[in-house]
Amino acid sequence: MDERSQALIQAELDGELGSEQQQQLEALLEHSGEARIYQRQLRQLHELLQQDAEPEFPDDLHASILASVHLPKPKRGLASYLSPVNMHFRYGFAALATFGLALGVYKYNTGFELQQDTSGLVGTMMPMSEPGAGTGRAIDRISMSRDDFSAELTLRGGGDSYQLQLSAQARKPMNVLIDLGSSGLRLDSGGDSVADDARNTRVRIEFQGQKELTLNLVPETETASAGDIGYSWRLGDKVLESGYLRTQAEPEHN
Amino acid sequence: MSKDQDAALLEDCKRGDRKALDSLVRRYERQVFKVAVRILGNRDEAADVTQTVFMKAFENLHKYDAKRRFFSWIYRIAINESINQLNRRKNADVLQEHLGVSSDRPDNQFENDQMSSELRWALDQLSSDQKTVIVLRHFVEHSYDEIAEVLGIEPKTVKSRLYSARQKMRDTLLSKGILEA
Repeated sequence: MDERSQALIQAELDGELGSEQQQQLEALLEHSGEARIYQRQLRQLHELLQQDAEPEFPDDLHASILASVHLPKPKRGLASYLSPVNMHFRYGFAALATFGLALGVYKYNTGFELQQDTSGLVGTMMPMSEPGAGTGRAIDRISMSRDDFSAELTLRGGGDSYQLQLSAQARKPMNVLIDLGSSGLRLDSGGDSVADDARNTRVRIEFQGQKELTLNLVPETETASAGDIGYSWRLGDKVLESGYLRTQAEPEHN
Repeated sequence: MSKDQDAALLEDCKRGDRKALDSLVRRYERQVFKVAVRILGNRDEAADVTQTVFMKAFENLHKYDAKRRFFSWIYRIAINESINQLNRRKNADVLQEHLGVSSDRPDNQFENDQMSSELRWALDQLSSDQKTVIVLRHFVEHSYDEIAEVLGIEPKTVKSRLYSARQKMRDTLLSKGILEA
């Protein structure tokens, strides 16, 4: 059997045959016993490799990896410099500001004059959104990984809207149950996801293969502030792992 | 897992978000370990290599080209590190041979039957390039295009390396009576 025929059989094994090549292969196998033996041997080789015992992933490896990886320290905003921890900076800043103000008053004090008539202006106080709201930054994230299943939930947003993103890959039919019952939030929209209660607070998402989905969550009432969101990864009704996602970002630590 | 999700996690990592790091590591640690253990045939060495892969990946994050997929970048590091470890092992074996010391390293700790042992032996007869494509195709189940992306070679080169690797494994396993003639 020539090299081209062998390459054809190998491409079939890899699922890389076009329709024309498929026809060529079928004709080859019909007329050549040698080709059929070669195909059987390659399939056997493939099965042996597939069946070879998978070495177990070491229990402590994940923790060891995390311990050995160094990330840049989170950037600090001006607010952190003004925190009680940075006393020297605060006193220095205050002294400098006082000196600058005094100098300005001494040198330029000609009395304040309004340049335009403001008697007709009406002001409105706008509420500021919560820190981190609307920036798209992750507030909390949990992930889970097993040999036949890996998935994660990321919560973004804040204030009056949250986005809960699911990214998952599973060989078996899995599901995740999102329980918003005690969070004060409800499902607003989320692809083909439907809540299975009248309050729209229990959402079960089924998945097998790859799944990417975003749920939009909103407060149940205008005054409600969001509490933690419950989740549980499930194989059928069997709970594999459960926990809570925080809806409030943790303060940065210096 | 999508390219966009990886990119978002990487951005969070660059800002020092260790939860994003945790997620990204969970996404790929098992596959990286699988590649390493199949190339090296040794669980402890593969665990060390897996740790080194992530350490190097994040140390060199500034070199990562965001146009490429993260998985192809991290697999490439995994393959290079595994092959480097193979070479270090070979050099150590040569040195021990010179010194007249026998190596007692358990190379095949995860093998528990004769078939695994024969398969491992057949894999070890391959060159590093051949072994790499077999591992990516049969154990990680990558397509020709994905293997080409990881290794930075043309898909036709992947095809030809797979062809010669399988021919060699077939011959080896036929000679051992593992494959039926």
